[in-house]
Amino acid sequence: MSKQRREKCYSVAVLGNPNTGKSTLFNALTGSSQRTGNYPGVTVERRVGRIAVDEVEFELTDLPGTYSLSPRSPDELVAVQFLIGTEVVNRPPDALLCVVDASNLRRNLFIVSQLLDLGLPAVVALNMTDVAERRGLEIDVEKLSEHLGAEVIPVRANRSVGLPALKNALIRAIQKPRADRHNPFPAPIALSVDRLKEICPDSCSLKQFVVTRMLFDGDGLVTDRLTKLVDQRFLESLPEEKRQILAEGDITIGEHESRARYNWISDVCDQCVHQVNPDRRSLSERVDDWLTHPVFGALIAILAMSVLFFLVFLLADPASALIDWAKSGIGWGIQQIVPDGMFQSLLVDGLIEGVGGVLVFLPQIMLLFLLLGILEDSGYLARASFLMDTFMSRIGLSGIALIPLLSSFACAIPGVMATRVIRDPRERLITILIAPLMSCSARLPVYVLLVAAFIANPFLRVLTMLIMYLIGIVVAVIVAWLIRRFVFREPSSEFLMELPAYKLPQPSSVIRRMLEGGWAFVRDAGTLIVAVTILVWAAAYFPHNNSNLPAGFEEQLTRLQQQIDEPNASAESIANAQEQLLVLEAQQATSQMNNSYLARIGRTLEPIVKPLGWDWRVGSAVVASFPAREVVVSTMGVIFGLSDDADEESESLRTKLREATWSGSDRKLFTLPMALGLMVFFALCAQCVSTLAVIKRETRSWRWPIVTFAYMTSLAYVGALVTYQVGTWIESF
Amino acid sequence: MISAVKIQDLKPGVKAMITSLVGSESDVARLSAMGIRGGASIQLLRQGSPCIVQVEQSRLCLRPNKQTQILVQPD
Repeated sequence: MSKQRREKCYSVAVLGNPNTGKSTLFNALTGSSQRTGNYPGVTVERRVGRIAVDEVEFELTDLPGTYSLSPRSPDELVAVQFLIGTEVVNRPPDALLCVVDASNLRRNLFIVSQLLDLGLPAVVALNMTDVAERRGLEIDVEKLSEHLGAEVIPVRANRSVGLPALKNALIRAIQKPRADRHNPFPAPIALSVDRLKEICPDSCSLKQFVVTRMLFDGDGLVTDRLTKLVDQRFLESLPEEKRQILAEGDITIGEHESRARYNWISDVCDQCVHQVNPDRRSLSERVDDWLTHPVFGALIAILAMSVLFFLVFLLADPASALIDWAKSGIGWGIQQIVPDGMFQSLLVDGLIEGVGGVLVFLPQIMLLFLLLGILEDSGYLARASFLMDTFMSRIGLSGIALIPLLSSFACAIPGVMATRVIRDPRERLITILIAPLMSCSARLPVYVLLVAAFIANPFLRVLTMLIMYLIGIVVAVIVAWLIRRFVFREPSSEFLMELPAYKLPQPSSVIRRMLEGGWAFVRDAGTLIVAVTILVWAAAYFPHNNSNLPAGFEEQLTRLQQQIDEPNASAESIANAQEQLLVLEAQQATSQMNNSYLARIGRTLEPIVKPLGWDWRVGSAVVASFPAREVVVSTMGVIFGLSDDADEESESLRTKLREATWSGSDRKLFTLPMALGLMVFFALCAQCVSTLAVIKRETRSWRWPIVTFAYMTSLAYVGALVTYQVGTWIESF
Repeated sequence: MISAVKIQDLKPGVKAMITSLVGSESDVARLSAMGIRGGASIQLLRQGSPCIVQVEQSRLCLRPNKQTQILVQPD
């Protein structure tokens, strides 16, 4: 039975313009049977769901929303590749489900017309019929079906109205293939299309589609792939047919296509769409007057952005703290059960630390995706981008890039993931590259520790923190400008974005997006983060010998332990012994750390970091903070001889740092210029394996995390060097 | 008859008809697919860069690059 079912499973592509409620319809149809994945080589999410109608199974694929089938972006390319058969599914789909916005039929029918060229069984879901009604439009569904040669079913996806009729129409579509062929073209073009179809090899199953795409979209992204479907004879005839069409008027070949299709659409709409009531100015349009206002709108946008930022920052923080607390709790529990030694340390300091380090970002990521989903679904995101574009266009980005950048002040990881809202691939890449320069919340512990230890004046403390935030922003602006000036020199394509009508966000789709965002991070970036954390743990743990400790150290430890275990010891003597034991254990940890591979790396690097005023101990702590910046605080605690739960607030760590000297001299290690330089280093460096892992995930290549790490580390080094050297020079007066 | 003007030079609120598009083939194709095409009625809602236009039933935010021009004929 199950085998027979699998044979009967038909593949259906769900397509349409963006903002037509396509994904809402897809969710309503497929419900919980959805799976997500990726298309090979691109970051476009692949969403698939199964439904069964009367024993017939359909596999629906929700393709990215697109305005035409001449692909100009990775999203659109994915859609076209899927239609002609891709690496994922090596054949065209069995049927099409086109989703159109009834209140904006003319533009929506453009892609439908291109889709009908495929000649595949098709069903058109006429969505947002309620909006059309409010605009006084009446659509003759029967007649429209006739003109399109495909069944048209009115639906309201957000209320799940019309879904059974849609499913039944799918069954009818696959049972009775489309008879008449779609022909929106006037005589000269139609003749060329026919002639080319004639010589199109029989192996090509989508003749009219291949012919029209080859004819009108010669320089498109998909041309290479289409060329493989035809033969030499076809390619030789193509230029002559193009020439004949171009002779018809002084417009481009692409405009011939759009003119022909829009003329056909006008004919269809004149017969099927009637303005029965006056088109009243909708609420959405009146709201827009305020929200896109240069003054009020801008104020509201700034307010909305601030709320978004603070919600991510404030709401996620307690949740992250809870995860952190649970991490320590589990670590403590393991320490009670598992005996001391390497295995315990691996579990607690490697595995739990790594897994905790992944989970700790989840609240921020999910919250950001939730808020972004609400902003996007409601239609406001487009307005905010419009208002912010004036500023962002000056550094070669568009308004929409502001959101990922702002989110990055809380954390670069959700920030980098939020760049998915940027459609232009080059602009998206620039935003990804500069997002980690925004001072995220993980820099705060480092700033707090150093500011508190080396700056006494409260006003100067605040000023220093502020300068650290500003350094990141200024450098980001310069980097973005330089990339635009020297790397991506070709002019940016024009900024063109639809402002969809406002609507209430769909809770189900917003929540789905939030969960998908969180899962994508855990699945794709999580493993890498855990692996690197364990690697750094191993460098700090091994070889784990006590060769550097003074003779008799072990005996001293044993003696103290015996003193504590002594049955009739006085409370005072036990407390005394415990205190001594803690000191010795810290000494032992420091000694083991100073003997570790990590410390050896630090010593090797000392000549390189010396110009920054760092010794090998600071160098080791910075190397150890590669998984996450904030680790530097606890690592410095161990290296400078405290227990490893030192945090940025602990007075003793500040004192230790202030007292630390260069080995073999009494010259102070931490001077004010060196501390400021260290802060600048952390403001600019890419010491965060999670960010790099997410960049790898989002760009699908190792190249960009490596570029990010290289350029940010160089900037950080130069920044720290200049700060230290100039500061020391000024101090010498 | 008034001659064609660039969309940016249209007065806000005035209805016009698009007469022609100038620009690279791919930019023109993108505009056309989103409804900005010869013969469509258009209205400038917010001036500036970017501007907001109403083309038939869609509302679009638009910042054309230097090579792209949308020429319109006011009604």
